[in-house]
Amino acid sequence: MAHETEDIDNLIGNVLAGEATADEKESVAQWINQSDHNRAYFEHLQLIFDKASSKNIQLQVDADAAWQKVKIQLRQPTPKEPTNYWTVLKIAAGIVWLGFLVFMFFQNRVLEEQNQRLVIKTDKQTEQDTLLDGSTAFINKKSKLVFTYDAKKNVRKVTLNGEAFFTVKHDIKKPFIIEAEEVLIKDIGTEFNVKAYPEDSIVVVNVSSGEVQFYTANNPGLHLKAGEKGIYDKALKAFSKILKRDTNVLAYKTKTFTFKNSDLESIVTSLNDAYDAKISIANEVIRKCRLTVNFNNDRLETIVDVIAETLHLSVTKTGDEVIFSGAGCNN
Amino acid sequence: MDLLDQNLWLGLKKGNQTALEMIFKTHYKPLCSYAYSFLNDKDEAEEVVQSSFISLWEKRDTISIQTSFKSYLYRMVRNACLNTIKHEKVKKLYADQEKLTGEPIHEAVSEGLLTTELETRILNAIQVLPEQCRLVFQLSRFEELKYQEIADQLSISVKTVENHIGKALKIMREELKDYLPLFILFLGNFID
Repeated sequence: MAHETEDIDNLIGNVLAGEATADEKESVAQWINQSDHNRAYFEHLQLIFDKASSKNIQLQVDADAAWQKVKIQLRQPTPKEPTNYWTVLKIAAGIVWLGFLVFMFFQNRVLEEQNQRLVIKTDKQTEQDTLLDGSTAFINKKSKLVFTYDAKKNVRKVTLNGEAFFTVKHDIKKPFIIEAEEVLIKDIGTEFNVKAYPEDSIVVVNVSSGEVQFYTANNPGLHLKAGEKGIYDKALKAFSKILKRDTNVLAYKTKTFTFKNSDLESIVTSLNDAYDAKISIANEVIRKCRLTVNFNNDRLETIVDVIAETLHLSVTKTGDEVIFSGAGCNN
Repeated sequence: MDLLDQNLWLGLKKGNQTALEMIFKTHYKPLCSYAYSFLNDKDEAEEVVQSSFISLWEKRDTISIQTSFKSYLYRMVRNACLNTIKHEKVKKLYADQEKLTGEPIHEAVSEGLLTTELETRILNAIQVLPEQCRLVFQLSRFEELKYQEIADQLSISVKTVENHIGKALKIMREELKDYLPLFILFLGNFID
């Protein structure tokens, strides 16, 4: 009988858990009907089985209060242990420092200075580069930039031949000075453009943000603020400041042009500069045709077509040369 | 996984705290009951469930769920409980130290924690079960796993699972024997 009871416990378990076969269900039903005692036994097990579940046994807990406790312990996105991260950083910094000491020990000053020098030369392409101090320079075509850091004087110096847009990491202890032709530009802020091609008669500085000092060895020059433009005339050795912002200064960098009632002649000049194109104007009468239009990183062909369409001009293309011609404009 | 669970799970993976909150509030109570069935201590049960949720949050990127979301939560809490039990010896040592330093020792008091006396008695009866038998019974009743799933998870045969469930029912009936007949009078109609 004991053996049978053990069996019946398993069978009832199977029935209650929904794991019983049809035969097992049948034999449990028969066993229940054999006596009231059996029926009561089954009912007891069923009660235990049903009650002993996550649905029926509910511990009196306060989920809202618990959530508040959990919430403050949740770390936002950083899954890594900050301590471990720091340890790695410390070790890395230690290794770098050790390497640096070894390097300093073995290198003589000349080599060290060479290492602090960076030369970027462009021809037909513009180039964006990060200088050794972390500042960046976007360099226009046909330009040469030499960056040096004088550790003794604590001066960052750039010699520029051509045009570049600088985003300087300002550090009052290490002045950033640009030498372009005979003029000097000292950064007091962050972003500015310097145009100083040897063949041009002027050097132009446009300040996008921050401030710069635009000067020569003998002339204190100009203090330029954001939005201002400074021009240095090489022949006259004189500075002049223009307050009106030139919207297309950075077109070589961004290929974004904003022409507002501009004449065709200056539009063509801007495009030739930025795209290194050979666009010319055949008829004198159309030089002063005026146009208001924006271009945003468009292809040169598209721009030429848009201009021709708007001003009713004809376009002749021979090789990489583009010629605008027409009988004149209404405006 | 149903759609809501799936959405919550995706939200959690993306680092959405509201998703975690919704999951937490839906499952906190039953999970605490489940943890309590292992630990027999309300504070400890709550602590285990809370820290399980915190680690769920921290590991959300690496977790992938094969079965259902709910069974993942239960398994997570079960493993945490089993670990806690494993470290019970260490805890006891700590408790002894507390005794020495005069700190009050928390005594597990079952009364008043559960809604009915029957629940309390059933949970107490679960504590009486032999270890493996108890685990099988908990997997079946609290995690609502099929016999085959229990067998797979514990690397035992389905027949062994069957035996454990039968044995668990028998032992618990013995434990509750003096109490149950009364109940049948109340619930007689309900059961049929």
